[in-house]
Amino acid sequence: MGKSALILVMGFSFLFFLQGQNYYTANTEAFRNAMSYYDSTAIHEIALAGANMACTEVYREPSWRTGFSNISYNGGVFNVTAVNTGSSQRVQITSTATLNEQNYSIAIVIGPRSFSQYAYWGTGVSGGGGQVYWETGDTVTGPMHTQGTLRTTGAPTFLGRTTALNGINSINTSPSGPVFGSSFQSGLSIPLVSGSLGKLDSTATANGYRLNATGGANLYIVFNANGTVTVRQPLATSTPITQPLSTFAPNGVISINNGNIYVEGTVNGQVTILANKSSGTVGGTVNITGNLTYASDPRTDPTQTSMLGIVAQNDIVIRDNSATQFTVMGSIYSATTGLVVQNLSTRPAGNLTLVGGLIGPILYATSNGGTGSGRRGYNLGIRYDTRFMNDAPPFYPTTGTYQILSWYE
Amino acid sequence: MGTQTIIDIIASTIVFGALMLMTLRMNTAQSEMMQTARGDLMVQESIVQVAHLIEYDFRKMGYCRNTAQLLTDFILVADSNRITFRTDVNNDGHIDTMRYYLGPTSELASTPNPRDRILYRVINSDDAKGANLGVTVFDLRYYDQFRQLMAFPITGSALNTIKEIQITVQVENITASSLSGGSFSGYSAPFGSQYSGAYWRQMRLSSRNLTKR
Repeated sequence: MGKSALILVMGFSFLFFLQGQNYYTANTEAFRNAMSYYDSTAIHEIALAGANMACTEVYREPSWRTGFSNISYNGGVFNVTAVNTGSSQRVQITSTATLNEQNYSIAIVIGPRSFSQYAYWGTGVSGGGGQVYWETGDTVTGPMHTQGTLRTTGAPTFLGRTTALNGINSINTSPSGPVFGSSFQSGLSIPLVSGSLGKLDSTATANGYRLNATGGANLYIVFNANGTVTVRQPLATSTPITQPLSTFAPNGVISINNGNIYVEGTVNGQVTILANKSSGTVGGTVNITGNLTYASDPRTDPTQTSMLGIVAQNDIVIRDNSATQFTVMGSIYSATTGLVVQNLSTRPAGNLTLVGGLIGPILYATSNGGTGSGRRGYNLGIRYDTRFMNDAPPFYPTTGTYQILSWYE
Repeated sequence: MGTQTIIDIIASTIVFGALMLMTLRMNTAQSEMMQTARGDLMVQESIVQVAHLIEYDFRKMGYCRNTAQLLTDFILVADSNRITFRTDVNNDGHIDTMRYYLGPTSELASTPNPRDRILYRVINSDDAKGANLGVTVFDLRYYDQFRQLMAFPITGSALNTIKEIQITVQVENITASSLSGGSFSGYSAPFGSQYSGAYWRQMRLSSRNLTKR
């Protein structure tokens, strides 16, 4: 009897043990599964912390490349490297987190925020010293910033990221107010950076083409579709020089200091032209004498790689050539004024199409505001070149801050 | 054989029978419990897989290795149970289009659970591929920069204002179980009492590439 009872107890014990083991295993696996997911979330957060800290360092000090080594965080460790990549002072940040022998990396490319990324940048001041009001029918197709108050009447449309220093002031908002196709952010200060043009001028001296004009000399430039550039200086009647753009200005920057530029043609290559004025009262103006385009429209031709930056200390003038259709492709930057249409009260009515962006403190009228037969000057249409979102003409002025170009994880 | 012996045999038979019944009942209960535990584990593993996949893909939304590419129009379709976005799946600098959507319940009519569906993940124009992981809810909500919930339909330029996506995924056991389940409020099709082991996961993801504009 005692022996049988022992066998019975042992048998039951074995059965209980087996069942318990199975149940324990299932529960352990469930716990392990949950922990695995927790670890993957935690390791992501650790890598993210490293990436954010590195971005902050570069924003604070653009030359920061020190990286982080074995920083303990949230039960794990992260290492961060920051190295230059490609051109235009881009930085690749790689943050690698380690937790429970697992690794996870985040790779980010950040680069200087160029002013060319704006379809429009202004201060909200008009040519007459008044205030710029964006009205129903106005459409800005790319990023836009107002270093002042963004004023609207009716329902203008801003399709890109829109920012303003002093917020927005909207009137006539019934039945609808301004339409933001991406986002609007207030309180953001993005001023033009003093000294940018001097730096660009130095870049031209280093490995581009630079003319230090004296006695009112000017630079007359015609871009040719075959990738060459024909230049005359100091007078329009001077003997022309035609060279491949890459030979004439290897780094892509053409500058005149204390003189003016007269330019037109078809750009084949990447170039920034600058009319700088470091002293005196003469110069610093870019005059666009005729259509200034690429061989094809970058909005419809994805293979188009040409880029043009037009930078001036003062006005960028659309010269009166009697054309009713005037096209400029490139990003226009005026440090002190803006885009000026010459003889807007007398020249034929038509359209001025800018494929790129307009950066300048003052927004001037481009027509006389008349209607019908009394209409003179141009309707201005700014069509954003989306390539400028992440790319820029050579050494185009930057905001002094960095932006994320890609974020891979 | 005396009377006492007969009584002993009867008594021991009754005790043995009772023990057998207890053992069988315990075995049945343990089997059911094990089945439920295993089923729960399976469902839990499925939800983790789905969550991993979604997080992996959605965090790359708007990414392209070639920084000169993919600058706008990151999200092409944004609906409550389907989304199409552009990304660089292979990290090769070429823009890919990725679609996530939930198939109809009729596709999985052969499974005991009438609500499970296939969650499809389609890259470019590839054939639709999906696995039956027991997904019963794949709910997408979209938020703008102010974290305001965006109303459907979201079309045209409004697609560019999406900054965050809330993804709710619910996975149920595709086979029936006798244990009762809970209720999942907030959705029109709460899981019933017949199907145990429903897990759900709610994620609010924001790809940093969506804000690079």
